Amino acid sequence: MPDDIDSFTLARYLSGELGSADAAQVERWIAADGGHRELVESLRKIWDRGALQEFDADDAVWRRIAARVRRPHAGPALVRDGGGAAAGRPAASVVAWAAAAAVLLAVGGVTLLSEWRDPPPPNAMREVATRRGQRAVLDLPDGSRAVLAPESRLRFAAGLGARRRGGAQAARDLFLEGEGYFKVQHDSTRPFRVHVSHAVVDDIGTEFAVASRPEKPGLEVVVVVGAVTVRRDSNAARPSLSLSRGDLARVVVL
Amino acid sequence: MRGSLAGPRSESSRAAAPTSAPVVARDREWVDRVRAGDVQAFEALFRAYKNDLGAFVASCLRSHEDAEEVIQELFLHLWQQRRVWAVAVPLNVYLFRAARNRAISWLRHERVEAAVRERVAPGQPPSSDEVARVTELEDAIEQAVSALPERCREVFRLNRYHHLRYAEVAEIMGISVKTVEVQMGRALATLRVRLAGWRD
Repeated sequence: MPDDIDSFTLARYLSGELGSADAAQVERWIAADGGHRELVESLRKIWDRGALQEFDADDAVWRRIAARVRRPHAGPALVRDGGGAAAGRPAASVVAWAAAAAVLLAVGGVTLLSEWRDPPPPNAMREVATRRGQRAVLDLPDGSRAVLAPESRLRFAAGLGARRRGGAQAARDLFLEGEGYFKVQHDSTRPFRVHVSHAVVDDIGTEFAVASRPEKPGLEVVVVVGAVTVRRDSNAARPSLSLSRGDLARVVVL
Repeated sequence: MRGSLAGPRSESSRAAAPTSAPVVARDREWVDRVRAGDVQAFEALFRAYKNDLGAFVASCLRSHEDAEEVIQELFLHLWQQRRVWAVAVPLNVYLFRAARNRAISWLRHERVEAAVRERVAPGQPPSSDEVARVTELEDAIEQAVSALPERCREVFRLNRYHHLRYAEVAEIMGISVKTVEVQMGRALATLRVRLAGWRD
């Protein structure tokens, strides 16, 4: 009869992982001494206690899923910007906000505010605008995802990146005022371009954030994954700047 | 059942044993129906597993809200991929493994965020943790479990709180059963010492 049962065996016993022969041996050891029994009973309390807090998913979680299940091509989900949820993050810095978006939407309550009734014709421009305190999450038609910061506006063709008849590839052009975070579906044949007031950010299959506000000159770009280039405008042949993963830059395009 | 020596268990708070035959049959039916696009089956499956998975993810991410987000993404993705959904292991193992992988990705993104934030505003003080004042045994246990080394704690939670067998825990975490045994032994040894003062 061993003086003590090792922790590994005892753990297996308490978890019900021991075969009957081994378990019986442990039980003989327990029965042999009042101290053994006390030890095991107190360990049982810890072992069988279970979690202190129950987790109860908010009903809103199912509603959000259900909305997408029933309407797979639903329009953008508008998100209330929960100040409490973003506690600890510096509010004003676009970079910090973009980094928060890099976590991909650690946000509070989602309300689906608008849904497209019928798919609009491919050439029609879609526009999403957010008010103060709102963020928008958009699943773009090409499979990319955009997150718009509060008080921002994004325009893009309804058939973003759709292949034209005759095989010509359409570039993916988006027009941004304010701040946006983009997670781009990789496609080297269809450049993904975010146009802001004085510059164009070119991307091929990466994650990055752009901020361009009238009150501040130039623009800010943060690259989370991959690389982007920044050019003065669509016609500029050479990029002014190349940025890659982990880079953040304030670019003043002269 | 090792009857007389076992302390009272709160059976009412425990879900049916995950790998019991009726549960396996129920899960199998749900999977088949979801693959065929049955929304009701999908909802039933979601409701059956959301809280257990959510609790697990919440303990990994230390955030109820983030856990909800992860669970939402997981199930949405599952639905979107339903036609090609292939479940080779018991459903609970599959779901826990998927949830765990997503939680790990989430944490990885969080580190990117923290690193970028440091560059923007270096030297910002970290959010303060409240110092827990341990007055009850319950809290003492919770605190002792939280203080276990990360991997050890994860193994412990999966086995003790989510009622997953050693073999299932091994499958979910991609480790050997032997490692699970070692970690559980360590948990017991550590908790035993930590909570020695509480024993009457």
